[in-house]
Amino acid sequence: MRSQLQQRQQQMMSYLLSGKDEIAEHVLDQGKLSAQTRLHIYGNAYHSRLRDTIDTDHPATGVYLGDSLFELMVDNYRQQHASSYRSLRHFADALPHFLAMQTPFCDNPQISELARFERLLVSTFNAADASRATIEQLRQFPVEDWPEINIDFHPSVQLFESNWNAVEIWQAIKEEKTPPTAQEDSTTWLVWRNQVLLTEFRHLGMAEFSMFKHFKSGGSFASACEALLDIEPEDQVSAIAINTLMRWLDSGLVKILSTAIKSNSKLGNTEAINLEATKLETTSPYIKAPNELFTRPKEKKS
Amino acid sequence: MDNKFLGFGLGLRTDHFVDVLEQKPDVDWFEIVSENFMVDGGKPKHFLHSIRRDYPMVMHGVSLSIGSTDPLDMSYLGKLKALAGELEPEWLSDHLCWTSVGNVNSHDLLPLPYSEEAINHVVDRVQRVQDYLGRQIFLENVSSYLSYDDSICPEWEFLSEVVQRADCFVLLDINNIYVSARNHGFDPLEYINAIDPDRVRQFHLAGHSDYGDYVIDTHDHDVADAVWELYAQSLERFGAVSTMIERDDNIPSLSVLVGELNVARDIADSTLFLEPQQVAL
Repeated sequence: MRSQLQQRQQQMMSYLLSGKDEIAEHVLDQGKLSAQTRLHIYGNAYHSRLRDTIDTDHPATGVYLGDSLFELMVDNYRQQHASSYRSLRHFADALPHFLAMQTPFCDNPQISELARFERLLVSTFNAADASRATIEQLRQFPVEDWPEINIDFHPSVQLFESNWNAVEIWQAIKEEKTPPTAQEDSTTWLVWRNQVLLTEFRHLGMAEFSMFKHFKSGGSFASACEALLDIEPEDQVSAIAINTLMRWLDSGLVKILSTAIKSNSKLGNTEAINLEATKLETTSPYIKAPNELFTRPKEKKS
Repeated sequence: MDNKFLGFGLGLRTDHFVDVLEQKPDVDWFEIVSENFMVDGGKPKHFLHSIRRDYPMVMHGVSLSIGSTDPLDMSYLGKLKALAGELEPEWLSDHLCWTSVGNVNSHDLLPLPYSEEAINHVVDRVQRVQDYLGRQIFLENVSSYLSYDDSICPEWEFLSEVVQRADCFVLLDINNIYVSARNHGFDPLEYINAIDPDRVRQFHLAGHSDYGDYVIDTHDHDVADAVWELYAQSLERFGAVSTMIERDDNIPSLSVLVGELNVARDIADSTLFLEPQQVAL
């Protein structure tokens, strides 16, 4: 059985969420203000607080939609998504999904992607702090250990994979320019918080995307190079891999460089992936290229 | 818990992070909104810890929901305790209200009915929170716009009873007393004179929006003259109490806020002779 206190709280919450005014019977008329007017003060505050939260977290989405569609979005989202979070910073977490499913917004998929990009910026902003590996640390690895190098990325590092030109739309709005016409555009973006705590993002090419996926899934430098052979000319793979790694370190993307398998049979591991040593010059201004790098593994005969 | 007078503080706001570090303003301490820093990392926490090295801090929460009939949110309390472990604040406070029920959050400081059931409920929860945190907490009186027909006593009796029985302290928001007095038609001095001075450990001052028939606690204006007057009367009753100004919207420059804080200092100086105690950074 509900207590009287619980009953009042449920009635009040019901008023805020859906306007049901059962609570009004238990609110006193005082002075010039009726119970209804008093409840409206709370109702208005609730609505405007949630609206302001979406407006703050999604400024570009708001501009892109314009006033009337923005208000429609806020009203419908608020009705469908009561906040279960202690902090308002999570209130709009489901907004991209809502925009992808709800008419009229779902008819323009770039809107959902624009909102998804803005949410990702918020989560990058608040991601955990961590130390960052440096180019100097990379330089300290003996050349023979390079194939075994693993990477832990900084906790703020995220991928944004889009099917529409949502990021270009976001950029135009940010620069107070007319956003480009929406068009399909499969692109991958890398988003992270840099060493001075500013959020950065940039387009990710196929080679870098391939390396990122490999390292992210626990792969080693050697296996990342091996995967690159499907994308880049064999004689350029090592240079591309080294330059990409240097760029990541320089940008503060890497938390830890390690050779986790070092305690195992290093030689055995090298043999297992059948690497052949070669010589290659790196274009990196930061580091002298190791002499031993990699070419395509020979196919194993069954 | 010792009654420590920290002097005159401000609410730490994002707009002022850089200025606080660069200007080292004449502010005795800062109050943070705890939930704003319950994040994994990033710029806000970076500034928070940098500023903490220079100033004493207190933590002020907005979503403890101490009056809610939902179970205590131990996940939230865990984060609160962890943040307090990082910051080592002088004290922790939140509001005598409820914010959530049925796992839905209103993100507002909703008033409780002033009933025996509510007193028993809140007292029990405050005791459990204090046991978990290992320290006494401060509860702030909220501004309110409605009264329930369940209430059996005025707000000041409700507040007094809760803090006495739960053995916690009062963060007395002078502006909130003024706002609620206007909205409910009571005498603010009757409220102030009913609170036990031994329980009052902090004052809040803030601005409001006056709509004639009612007043909204907006924190987007300077402190009103009527609130300054009430502040002086509060000092006469409670003596030297750590005082801070809350500003959450239409935020002016740091120097303007320090100027407003100096008004509080002047009023306190003319009412009492004050020297802030030395506190550990």
